[in-house]
Amino acid sequence: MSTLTLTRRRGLAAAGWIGPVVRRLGAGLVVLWVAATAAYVALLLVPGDTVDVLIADGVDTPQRRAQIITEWGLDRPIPHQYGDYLLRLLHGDLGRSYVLQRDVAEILSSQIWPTVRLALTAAAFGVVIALVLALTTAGRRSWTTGLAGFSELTAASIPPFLAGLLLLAVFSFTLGWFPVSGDRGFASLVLPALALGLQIAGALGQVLREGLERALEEPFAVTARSRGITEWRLVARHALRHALLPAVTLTGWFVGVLLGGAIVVEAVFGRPGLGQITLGAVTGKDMPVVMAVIMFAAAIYVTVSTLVDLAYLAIDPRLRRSR
Amino acid sequence: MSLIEVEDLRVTFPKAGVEAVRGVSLSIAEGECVAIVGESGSGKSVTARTLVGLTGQGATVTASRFDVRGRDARRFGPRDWRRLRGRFAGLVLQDALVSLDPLRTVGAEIAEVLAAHDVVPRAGRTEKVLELLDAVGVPEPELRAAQYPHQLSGGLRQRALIASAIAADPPLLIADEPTTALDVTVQAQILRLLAARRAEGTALLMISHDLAVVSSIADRVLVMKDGVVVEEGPTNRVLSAPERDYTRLLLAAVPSAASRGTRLSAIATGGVSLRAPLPERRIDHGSPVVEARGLTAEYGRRRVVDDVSFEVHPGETVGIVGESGSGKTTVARLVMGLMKPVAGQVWLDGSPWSGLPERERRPRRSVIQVISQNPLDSFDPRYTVGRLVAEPLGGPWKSRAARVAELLERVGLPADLAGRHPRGLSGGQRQRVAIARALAPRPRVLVCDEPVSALDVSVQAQVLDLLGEIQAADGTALIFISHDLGVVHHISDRVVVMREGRVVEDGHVDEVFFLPKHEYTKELLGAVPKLATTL
Amino acid sequence: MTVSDREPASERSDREPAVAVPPARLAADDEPGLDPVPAVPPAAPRTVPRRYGVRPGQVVALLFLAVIAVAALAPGLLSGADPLAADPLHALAPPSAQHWFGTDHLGRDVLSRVVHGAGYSLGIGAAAILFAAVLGTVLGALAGLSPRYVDEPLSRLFDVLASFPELLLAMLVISVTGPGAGNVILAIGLVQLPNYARVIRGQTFVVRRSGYVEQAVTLGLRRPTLVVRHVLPNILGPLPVLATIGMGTAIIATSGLSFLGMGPQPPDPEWGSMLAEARNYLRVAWWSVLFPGLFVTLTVVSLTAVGRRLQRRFEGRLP
Repeated sequence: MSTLTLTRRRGLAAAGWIGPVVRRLGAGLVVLWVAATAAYVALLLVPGDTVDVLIADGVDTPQRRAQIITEWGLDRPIPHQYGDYLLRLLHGDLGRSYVLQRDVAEILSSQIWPTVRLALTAAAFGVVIALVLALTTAGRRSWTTGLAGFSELTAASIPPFLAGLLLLAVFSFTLGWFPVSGDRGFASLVLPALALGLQIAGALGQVLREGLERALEEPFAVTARSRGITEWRLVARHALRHALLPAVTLTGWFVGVLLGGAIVVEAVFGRPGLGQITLGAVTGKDMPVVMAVIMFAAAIYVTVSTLVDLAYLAIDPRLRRSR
Repeated sequence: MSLIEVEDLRVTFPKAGVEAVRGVSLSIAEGECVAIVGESGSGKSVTARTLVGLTGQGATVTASRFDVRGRDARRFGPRDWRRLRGRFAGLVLQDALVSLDPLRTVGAEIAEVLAAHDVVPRAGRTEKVLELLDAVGVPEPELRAAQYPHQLSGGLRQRALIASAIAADPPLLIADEPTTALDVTVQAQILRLLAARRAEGTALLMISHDLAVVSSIADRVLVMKDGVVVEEGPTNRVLSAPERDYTRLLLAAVPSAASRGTRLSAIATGGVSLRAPLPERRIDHGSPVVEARGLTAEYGRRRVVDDVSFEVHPGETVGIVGESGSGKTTVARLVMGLMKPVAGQVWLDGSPWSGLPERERRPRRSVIQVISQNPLDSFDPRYTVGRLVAEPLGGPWKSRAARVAELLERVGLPADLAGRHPRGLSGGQRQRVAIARALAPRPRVLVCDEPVSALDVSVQAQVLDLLGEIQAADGTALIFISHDLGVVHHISDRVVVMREGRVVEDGHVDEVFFLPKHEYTKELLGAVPKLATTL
Repeated sequence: MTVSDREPASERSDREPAVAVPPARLAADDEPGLDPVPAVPPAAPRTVPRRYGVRPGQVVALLFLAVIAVAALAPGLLSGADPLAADPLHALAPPSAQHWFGTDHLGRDVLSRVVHGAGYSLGIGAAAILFAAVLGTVLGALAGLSPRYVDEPLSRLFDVLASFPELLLAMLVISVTGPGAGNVILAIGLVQLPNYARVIRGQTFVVRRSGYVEQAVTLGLRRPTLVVRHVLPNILGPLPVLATIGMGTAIIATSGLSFLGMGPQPPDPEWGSMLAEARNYLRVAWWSVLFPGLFVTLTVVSLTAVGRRLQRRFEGRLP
């Protein structure tokens, strides 16, 4: 070894990273395939003729019917249709919404950014609030810890749309600090992001604090203290990494909360975005859009869970040897 | 000047309602080695941690005097304590696998002390870490410094932990059970390392449950019980001429060659303790009740037991000793018929046992029963003591109560324990419950897998005595698996020494232990700390 | 595929957060062939069994749940008013002696609607949990007790189900079935199913490899006896915990779906649909939002608090 680092050895292969990464990517493909299949099965399960289902409230003309039948291959046997459908997905063709008269991919890409902005801001709020709560109260047995615990429990128990309504009532209607609805600049993002981030702040805060408290009681924490380091350093250099492990496990769940929650929160605040699209598609039974949203969610999930697993490997060296 | 001078130290945990330390006085001079010995709950660890201000949350500490290098520690704030830790006193806990941060490299852990006290400038830290690892006898320091604790063997880990404790060159080293989780040969190495530190002038405060470990290294010994120092004095004097009954009891409870055939849990009275003999055993040298021939077992492709043969006669005790990884527990599983050998065979009562389908083995299961190291694991978590003991008994549940009471009485437990949950019992009581359950089907063979390893020495003595009594009364054969050579010598008639799955040596226990033929047996025996006592 | 699958890391996340997050307390891959390291006599201070008195928070939570349960089973006991009786003359009246929680935009008594709504929210939640727990337990135990070629696809399926954002999955189900209470039960039940299946599967592994099952083998118990007496009861151990905490999650999800108009349809007084109706009058009648919202939140908080208490007891932290 030419250069010695006391912290971590570089080099992916040396640390045994390649195996786990490949395995997880493979598993991710399986998830995508199952999601696509589930969406397809859902389409077949909707009562009524599939052509009618696909048209839904769209304009119904004989030409269009013929077009749909060719596009989805509805005149051929189901396994064949299914194969075609998977092939089209592989080429990135998500189909066409006959209600909105547009390609689904186009609809999604035009509406994605408001939602991503909302979700990221909410995640940032949630993580910051959780970290502050956990770091300031962990391991201190006082009334503040109890109060923080109760706030987290409450935050995790309020449905996001209710949090949105309450925030609106207080900060928009009563105090007039923030706009009531729409998507105009950061001010209009604060309340929706808070409403969405509260649940994450609550759940993450609990996990982080419990993780910190448990780590601070471990023998290695006693050893670290016996070296004369400050309590803050003990938390930052030792306990926090241990507390992050269970928190990282929840990341996939958080993404679900964010995506699902975004739908309701966008409805509450009248914001454009995927939520409105999805809601409209579900109530209007616009199946091509519903199916595409499902695929989109699955893709996000696969990406995030692969990243999470890598984060795991980065945090915990004990997992790195591949079995 | 003394490093530490403490008088009437009291530590209470008011919330838990515990008085852990009740008036301990202690002084440690420069370069001195003091040992605190006691069983669990004696307050020895709490005392040691209090000396560096790490008693823990919710503890109240009082003392009429508490001087650290002449400064009154009763007035210390958190910052004063921090400056002392690592710099004035290094702390070594047991089992570095959990005492070193598993998520950080060994080198980073050692460097932390250097940074906290600014021992060497930042640029020189890496070099200093390597120097320290080298000093504690870790080969290839560059490689090891970049590794994580789980990648190191138990011995290397413990050495690394010691390196981090001595990094800032403190005049005092506090070692709390520093060798307890280690194999005996590794323990000997760590003790030599500590002795070497001492020879260089570092004072040592050693906390241990094991008198023998302490006897080789300590100048003075404090014997603690229930938060009080029972006896104190020079090591030789305390071990050879103990003044207190409790010390005597502790010494008498240590199993060894000398204690064979006698009770360990002797009751010391009037300053004299006599070794009462155990009831006579009869060994039937006719046909063996268990016979293992050429046993071989594999996990995956790894061979963990390789060509192991032995036999056990009714009434006899066969000891199986070995360090961790020697395959002795796998032998127990093979004998119990819980695992299929890839080659070889076990005969029970003269007929084949190990290769059978479970259906044919089942009716004969009552012949052979097992007692394990951690009885709680072997208890259904929903069951009460009474139900656990009643389960192996046949017949309707209601009619079993009388027999349960009888069995509990036999293992020295009050009958009203039957309604309790094992979780609420002490370790010794749990092991007695396990023994009562094992006795219920009236077995002819008991397989004991490290049955006393988790117990305090006085409780261990009681359990070993109980096994002796049972054996004498029922003529039960015992297969006794242990890492502790003293225990094995005390209880066994014949012994099998195992290493890496193979039998290294076997024969009569006195022959093997007094006149070992194999190098490994010699090494093992040489590594066992000797207790020089006249008792 | 996810970290909560079977990596050792998941062992450490043995406490879920308050909301039912995909829990993962699975069996560790055992490392056979190693003799146990001789255990260490614990050097802990002598402890008197700690008294865990009744915590006031727990009492409040249980009392609140009792009130909610009464409201769900016999709403007439708590409120005499008709939850559907409109009284346009007294619409949007603030809380008063006559209407404690005020009235909504049609002049209906909010208190009475909140009380009668408990039956919908709790009923839908309980039915969904029952569905998820029964089916999840059967599938989880099947996966855990079966050979690898059955276990593997099943647990992949659980993973995929668990991986979908729950609200989206529920909406997919409703886009097929249409709105309504029964469909919401099906949707939420399906969403929660993998929680149960995965925990039960993991628990099956733990119990199968446990010392007490091995011990039972050495006692010569026949396999059916062994499974009925030792395996099944211990596998089912975590169910009360999961169900209590899961009930909270289900109530949140139900209210969310109803809020979006996919649950019980107006004029049924379900809490979520009450909120959906009331949001348009948020500016003038805060009470018609606050009280249903308060009850949703307090019910979930109480369920979670009680569930966590059960969890601690199950994990052996309490006597």
